[in-house]
Amino acid sequence: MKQEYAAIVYESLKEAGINFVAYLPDDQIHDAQKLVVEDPDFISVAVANEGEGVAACAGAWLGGGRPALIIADSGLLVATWPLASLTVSYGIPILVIIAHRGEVGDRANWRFITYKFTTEPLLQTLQIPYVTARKPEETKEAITGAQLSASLWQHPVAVLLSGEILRD
Amino acid sequence: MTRYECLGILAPFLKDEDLVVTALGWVAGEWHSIRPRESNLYQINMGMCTPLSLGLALVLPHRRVIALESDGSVLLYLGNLTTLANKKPKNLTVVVFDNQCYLATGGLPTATAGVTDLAAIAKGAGIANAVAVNSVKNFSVFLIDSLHSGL
Repeated sequence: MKQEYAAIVYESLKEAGINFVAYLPDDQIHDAQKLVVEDPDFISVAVANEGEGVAACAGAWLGGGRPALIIADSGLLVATWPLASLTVSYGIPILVIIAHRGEVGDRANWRFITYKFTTEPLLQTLQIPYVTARKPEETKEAITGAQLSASLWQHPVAVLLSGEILRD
Repeated sequence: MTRYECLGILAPFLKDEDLVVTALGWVAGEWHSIRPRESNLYQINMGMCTPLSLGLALVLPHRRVIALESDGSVLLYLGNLTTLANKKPKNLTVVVFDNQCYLATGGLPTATAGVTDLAAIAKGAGIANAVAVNSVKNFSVFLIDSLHSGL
């Protein structure tokens, strides 16, 4: 991710009112994660497993915070159990930002085709609404809109960052 | 030492606004029978009681948070002990009732019934004040110590 695009993601999270972030480092979104971690206005939690990140975000929301989980596709797979049994079933509105690889035309190699087959179907199965932002100019509206919907619906909502926005 | 005895020791130390999160299983019903309050959150599913309590404690640094955990739940997300150790909010106390089995689902043994030592794992994760207690008296001593070292 280009530094200027990382800044767009970071600024969008701020504009959405996010003040708590749980994350597991991912190379595609590392620069945005770094901007968040270095900003003391965010409470940031580096987790060892994306599932505990979901639970930490749920606790943050129950305590009045506005949480986001920033992960990769692989992290979504790891986080399915807490997403299903905690955020979806209790109606806890966390924002899930996913660096999404494996779309047609993506420059990712064969290992990433797994995420073409899993990420969107998984979100649909979990009944987590999502929006995809592929271009820098789409990203702010996707993130702030997803947070608005999460808050209004009292339900987790995901943003898939893909295509140009992720490219170096 | 029973879990119920320990819960009975814990309750008088808490104010109404102190937040208590329980793991799944019988601990929830036992805690409700001892301290029925709106500041309790019951039956948080396997693996999520401690990380959820961590999130609560970080956004509410002026509130005391107690997690009533179980060995099976902690074992599911052992990595969370490392997260907890690094964030170490002073207002959070995690009490793990290690009954060495998955009691609510029939009682098959957990790893702690074998060779695994959860307190040693917690210490190794970096929770320097983690301690294993095996008597009601020691539970009281270390509980008071833990609560006083926080808020």
